[in-house]
Parts: sequence; structure tokens; C-alpha cells
Amino acid sequence: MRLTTRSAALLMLPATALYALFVIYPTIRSVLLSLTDAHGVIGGSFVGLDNYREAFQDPQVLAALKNTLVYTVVVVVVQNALGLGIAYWLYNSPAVRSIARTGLLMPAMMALVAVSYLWSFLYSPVGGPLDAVMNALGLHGLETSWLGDTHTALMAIAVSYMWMYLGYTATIYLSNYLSIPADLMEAAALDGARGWTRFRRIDWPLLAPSLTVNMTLSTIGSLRVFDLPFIMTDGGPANSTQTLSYVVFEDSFKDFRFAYGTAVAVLLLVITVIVGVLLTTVLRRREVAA
Amino acid sequence: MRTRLRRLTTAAAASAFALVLAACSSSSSGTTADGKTVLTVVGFEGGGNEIADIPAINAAFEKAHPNIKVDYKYVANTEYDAYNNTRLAAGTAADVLMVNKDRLTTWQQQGFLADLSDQPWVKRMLPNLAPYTQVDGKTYDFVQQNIPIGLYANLDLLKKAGIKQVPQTWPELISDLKTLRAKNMGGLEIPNLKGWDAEQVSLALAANLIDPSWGSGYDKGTSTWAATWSPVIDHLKQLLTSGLVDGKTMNGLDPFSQGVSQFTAGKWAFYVDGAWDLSHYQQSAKFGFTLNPFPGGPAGGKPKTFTFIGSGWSVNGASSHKNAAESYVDFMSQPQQDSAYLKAESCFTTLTDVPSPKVTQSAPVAAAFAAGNTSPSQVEVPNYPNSEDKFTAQLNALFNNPSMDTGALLKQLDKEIPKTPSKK
Repeated sequence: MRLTTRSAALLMLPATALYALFVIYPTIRSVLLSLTDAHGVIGGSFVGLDNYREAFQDPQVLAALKNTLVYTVVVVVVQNALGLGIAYWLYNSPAVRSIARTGLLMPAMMALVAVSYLWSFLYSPVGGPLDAVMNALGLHGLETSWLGDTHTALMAIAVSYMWMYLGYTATIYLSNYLSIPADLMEAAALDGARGWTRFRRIDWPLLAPSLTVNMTLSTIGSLRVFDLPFIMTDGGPANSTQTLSYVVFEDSFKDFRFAYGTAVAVLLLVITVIVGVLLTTVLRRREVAA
Repeated sequence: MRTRLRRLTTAAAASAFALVLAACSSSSSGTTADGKTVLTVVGFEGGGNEIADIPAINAAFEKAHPNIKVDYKYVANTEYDAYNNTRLAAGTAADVLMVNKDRLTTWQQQGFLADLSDQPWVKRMLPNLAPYTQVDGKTYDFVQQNIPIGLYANLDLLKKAGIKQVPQTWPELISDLKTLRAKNMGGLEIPNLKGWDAEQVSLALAANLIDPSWGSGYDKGTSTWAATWSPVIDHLKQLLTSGLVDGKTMNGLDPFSQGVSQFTAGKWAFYVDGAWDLSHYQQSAKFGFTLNPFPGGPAGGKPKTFTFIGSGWSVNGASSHKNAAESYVDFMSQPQQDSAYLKAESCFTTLTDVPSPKVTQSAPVAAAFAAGNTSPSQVEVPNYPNSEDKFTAQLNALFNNPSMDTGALLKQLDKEIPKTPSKK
């Protein structure tokens, strides 16, 4: 059967209609809502860009933006570095690869709510396993109220997030590793490329596609993190774990300032799109160069 | 081939259209196959850890109203706003909605709730609770629970520490906490992850230290946090800076899981908590305990308690089964149902003709209530829907840094909790 332009368009129609209904239309409605002063999910008068002006001067939004960026940088760098390290180890350890790969993916299969409660328990300052281990090791100075201290709460949440998705990241790197032709690796070995030299000259350039995927996924995931701070700390203590997504939720569903919350959501969307496009563009160029 | 392709695309388009229609249509047809009216009810109690005897009450309602089938949906409190707001906006929300003060204010302002001022139970409400059910003088919900929150005391631990009675004043409480600390025993537990328990302690202190009319003047602009609440914050600071309470450790403990289990395990002498946990302690605690008014006043005074105005029932203004919905709310207010609900929740009555359940362990707090040494929760009075969350966030910050300036903290509360609700 030859596909004509008309029949192709018709075949695309259902998916396009659904996409338009559930993605394009809500996005347009959201932007329109953000230009009003609506306090509910309906109604409100047109106020132009007032909500956006207010957001750029709102200390809560600015603090949440800072938290989100710090969180994102830490998660993206650490998660990718560790994921790459694990993938390197598994690539060079075929005996444990299959079992380890299954185990690595298990945390990512868990519900975020379950992970939140699990890590809240681990971090508990009274009878929590983490402090108990430190106590047993004589590291009393490192015992702390991980989620109760403004200095540690955000990073404590970042660790939970990385624990959940580290295996996912490692698996993508490992898949890329396994797609590298064996004869290329053998040739490199014959030429004397081993260890760090092989990684720098051979592995790193050839892992460019998985780096693009992992960096993009972890960046987007981190920028819109909501569930873990919401369940584990409710944005506290002293707003130290408030992220942009959390502020959107709080403004919309707790303060009932739906228009303002939507304006912050639109800003988050714009930031995510810009960062996502920039990352993809830069990393894709690197892929081509490699 | 072309015909087949055309059929295929037509079928695909039809499927998509059907899917769209299904997504847009209401989830309830309104009647069962045998002609019964389906009354949809949504609540943040009646499931999870708080059954509140609702399944039995619903079964009794269906028996009393054979033409109505109750379709009860439990939605956890954390998801409740997200669940209902979109449905209210789309016109597909439940016929009867469980509400609390902030949801009542918000949804009424958006025109979603029916005026229930003419309902028979309105005249039976306790007069001091009526303002919590009203907006602009009209009644929009039947508040079903007035929850005592006070000081749970582990009597066995106190006895072991040589403390003969539950403290009655602030100096006595401080003295007892010092005694407990000297004997390396747990004193006052304030599990404060997300700021909840510090809020309860503050409201208990406020019952002793702040004029009960403070809240009623807030939206009129005649009272502010900055002008009045410094004694409460200073009392908290005393606990935090003297080492009697470790704020950072408490900020890392979840009150609803770790806090309750810690107290149940007998590790703490005192814990400020609501009556809803009373039955849990009755079943699980292996020590004697009482629920008491909070000893927040000066030497020689009597301890006072406060109550949290809890959940109630509203009718969706757009309900197509308004009469059935009103019957349901009225049924909830009837003495038999109301008593069952109150007993399950261990809370005080909100009606003139229904007695509060008697529970041995909560006799001290009930006596204070009967003697008038009580006030409704102050933080529920301002009409700003999120006032409670703004308050807890500041207390969470105080526990993290007890040296923070009291005046600055209270001024921030005045800024974050607007004095009049927006009606836009």
C-alpha cells in the first residue's frame, strides 16, 4: 500500500487531535489564565503581565528558583558521574551484569510516595538507620536531623532522587557501552589503550548519544521535581526545600491563587524548554563531532 | 485498498472522538439500573487511617432512604484540593463535599456551595461555632467535629521520674521537663516535620496567653500577629534555647507516623496531639495516660485547652440531587449518627442536643472544656484559606533557628496572611 499525503494526514489525525486536546489546548488555556487575576480555576479579569512581574520580584519564587537550580546541577552531575562509573564497571564485569542490571532498575520502578516514606524513615533523627550506622561507626559528629536542618534538607532529598534514578542512568550508559563494536575495543587494546586512556579516547566520545539522553532526562526531571519535597518536607524547614514546582502547587492549591501559580508554571515550562533545547543542541553537536 | 484505508482512518477518528467524549462526560449517570438516585459524596475521612464510622453511617442512610444509593469516595487530605477543584470547575464534583474552614471559605467565594441556612440542623448548632460554618451570615456547612487538642501525659513515666501530677502551669511544666532531662528521660515531644506539632503547641499556648477575641478581630484589622503573639513565640523560644526541646531534631520527625509511634512506645512524658489518636493510644500504649488542657499559663492559674474546628459537610451548589444531598447532611446531624461519628473521632459535639462522648483518659480536657477554660483554634479564624500553612512554615523556621527575631517572624505572618479574603 502506498501512503499518500492525504492518507498519512488522516492516519495522524487521531493522535494529533488527542495531542491538541490534552497538551496544546491546556497549555494555551494556562497561558491565558496566567494573564488574569483568577483565584479559582475559573473566572478572573485580564491583568496582562502583572503576575509575571510579581513572580520576578517574589522572594519565595526567587528562593525556589535558586533551590531548583542547585538541586538540578547537583543531581545531573552526581547522577551522571556515578551512573557512568557503574556502567563502566558492569561493562568490564560480564559475570554480574545481568543480575546487577535488574537490581539497578528496581528503585526506579518504585512509587515516588513509597520512596519518600522510605527515605524519611532512613533519615529519622530518632532511631533512624542512617544515624544508627554513623553512631556504630563512631561518626557522632556527622549525625544530624537530615530533613530538619536547612543546611542538609535539600541535598538529603537529592540523594533520595539519585538513589531512585541512578540505576536508570547507568542502564542507558551500559546499553550504549554494549553497542560499541567489540573489534573497536579489541583494536584499542592492541594499540595499548587501557584504563583512563581508553575511557578518554574511546569510551567517552562513543558514549555521546547516551550522555545526551541522560543529561536531558535528568535535567528535565530535576527541574520539575515536586513529589519528594512535597512528601518529605513540605518545602521546609524555613522554605529550604521549596522548588518551582512546589511553589506552583502552593500558590494554586493552597493559596488558591490559580492565575499566579499558573504564571510560575509557565515560567518553569519556559526554563525547562530553553535548558532542554540548549542541552540537546550542544550535546547533539558533540555526537556528530565524535 | 483505498476503501479499507478510508474505513481504517474513519474508525480511528471515531475512536478518538469517543475517547474525547468519554473524557469530557461526567463519571456518574445519576441513577442506578433499578432507578435509585446515586448520591455522590467525597470526604477526606472515611478511609485510610480515619474511618470515622462513615461506612456504617452510609449503610444506615441507605436503609433509611431506600431510593438513594450513596457512592462514597475517600480522597486523602493531601490530594483533596487537587481532586475537587478541577471537578468543581468542570461541573462534575460530588453532590456532598466534606469541607473544613479554608475549603468552605474558598469554595463559597467561587460560588460552588449551596446556601444551607434554612436547614433544620442550623438552629441546633452551638452558638460559638456558628461563625465557622458561615460566610457573610449565611450557613454553608454542618461542622461535625470540635476536636480537643491537648497535652497527652505518660503517667507511668512521670511516676518513674518522681513527678506526682500532670503540670498545671508553665513554670510547673518547665520544672518537670528539667527533672526529666536530669534523669535522661524524654520530656516534651514536638515532632515538627512540616511544622504541624509546633502549631498545636502554639495554639495551646495561645489558649492560655492570647485573648480569645484575637481571631475575630483579625479580618477587621483590629488585631495583628505582631501586636499580640510575642508571648507565645517567646515561650517556644524558652523551650528551644534552654535545651528542653531540640528544634532541629524535632523538625526531622513526622508527627503523624514517628511522633505517634514514639509516644506509643513510652519514650516521652508529654506529647501535644489531637483526640483522634486517643483510641489508638488506648489500644496500643502499655502505660497509663491522660489527655489534659495545656499548662501554658502563669503560676497559680488553671490550664486551658483549645479545640480545632474539624470537618463538616457542604452541598455542591450545582448538584442535580440537592434534596438528597441535604437529606444526607441532615442525617449526619441526627443524634444517632452524630454520636457514632463523635465516638469514633473522640471529639466534642457541635450540637446543642447531642452529648459529647465520655472517655476516661480525656476527662481532664473535657472538664476544662466544661468549665469554659477553652477557646476555638485562633489560626482558623482569619479568612485567608492558607493561614494555617503560613503559620506552620514560620514555626518550622523557628525550630531550625530559635534565635530568629520574634518581631520579624510575627511581622512576616501579618504580611503572608492577608487580613481580608479576596472575593475576586
